[in-house]
Amino acid sequence: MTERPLRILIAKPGLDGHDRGAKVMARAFRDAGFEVIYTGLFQTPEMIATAALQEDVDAIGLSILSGAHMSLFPRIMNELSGCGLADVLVVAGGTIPEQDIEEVRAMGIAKVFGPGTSMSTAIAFVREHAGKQADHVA
Amino acid sequence: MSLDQLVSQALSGNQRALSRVATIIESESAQALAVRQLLRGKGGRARIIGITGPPGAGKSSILASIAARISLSGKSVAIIAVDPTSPISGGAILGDRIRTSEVSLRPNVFVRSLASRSRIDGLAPAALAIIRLFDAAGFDYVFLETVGAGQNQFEIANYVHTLVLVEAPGAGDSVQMLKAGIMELADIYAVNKADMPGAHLVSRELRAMLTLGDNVSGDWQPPIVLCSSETGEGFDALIQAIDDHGAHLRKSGSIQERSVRMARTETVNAVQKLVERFLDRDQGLIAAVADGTHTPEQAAGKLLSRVSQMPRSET
Repeated sequence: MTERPLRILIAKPGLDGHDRGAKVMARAFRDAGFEVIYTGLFQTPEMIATAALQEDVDAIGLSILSGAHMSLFPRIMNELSGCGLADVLVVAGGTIPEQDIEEVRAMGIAKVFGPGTSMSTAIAFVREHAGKQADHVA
Repeated sequence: MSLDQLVSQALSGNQRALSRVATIIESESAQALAVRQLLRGKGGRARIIGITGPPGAGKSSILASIAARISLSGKSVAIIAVDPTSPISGGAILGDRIRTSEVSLRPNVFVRSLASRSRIDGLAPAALAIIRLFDAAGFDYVFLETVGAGQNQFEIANYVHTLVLVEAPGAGDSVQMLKAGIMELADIYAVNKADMPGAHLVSRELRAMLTLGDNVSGDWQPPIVLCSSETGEGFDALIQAIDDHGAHLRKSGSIQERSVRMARTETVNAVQKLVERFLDRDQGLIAAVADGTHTPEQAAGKLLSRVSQMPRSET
């Protein structure tokens, strides 16, 4: 298997115009050698799942600062499994209060990176967990 | 699942499988070669269209608008969008979905972003192979959008049946239009942002340029289409121009020439990859050129004789 760059989708779900964090992360992943699919603001769960499906990403990073994560995340996870993407690594960042984290994890989101997380922590986590077994088709 | 099964699922409309197969092709692994074998001889029905032009001219926005219109008419559309790879990190920001994410929700539209990786001509190494994949999967239209591209990034012309060059207001004066390169090769000129001042000037300069001499593309008169994502004007005319060019290619028989040109490009790319693979294994040969033992031409001769002796399994 030729070594290939990992592909990550950085998505901004819902009605949240704060994209600086998403852009900072997109840039950091680019600088770490990832191919970053950045879809811009106001993405519906369906758009996020479609992008992940058509781009065959190894990981998805959701950036949310609107406070709507408890209603949007389940819908996103639901769309993803509907597309057969339940095995894709999903991580989240933004303003997600401490008390929500356990429930967010239970939805299948592997990790929540809160304010103050270093770039290298997030990148190392994704690099470690986004190994895609499906590459090895028999 | 076996590779055969995956490929046949991809060809029968399973988006997940199609997407996986595109990744395999892009990996350039041994599996990629096996996929190419499985796709061989399939397809040949799609209209293959290139969209190029400078950064920010509106290539992705135009594609989003025309893909929406084409898909509403019941035809299917695949879009391959290339964005640049960083020469520093090898990473990339693939941002073309910002314009196309809405249209990509339609069941008959598929958008795939590619990073340019090793290429500097506005294309991606796997672009033509992925065009073949979408063609084999039965898409009616396959669009290839280049990186924001400049005057001599015209390799795209060897990848497609029909080439659309997108310009925008501020594209430069009439001498820019006269310059050799991509300006000579477009089958259709789209002047975008027609709602902005200067668009009509660009269109006039283009028209003046086209009438200065003999028409290089035989009896096809490249149309100039003014369009605007702001007002929606021009997109139906652009689709019409693309379809007219398709009809012209079939009627004049030049579709054959273009297909051969594409096949030649694919073959040259394959030769280059093969030779580079051998060369990378043969550092001694490169050292011999570096220290003056061989001329580069002598080394090339030796390398090719080694390539010709390789076991068939390595192709």
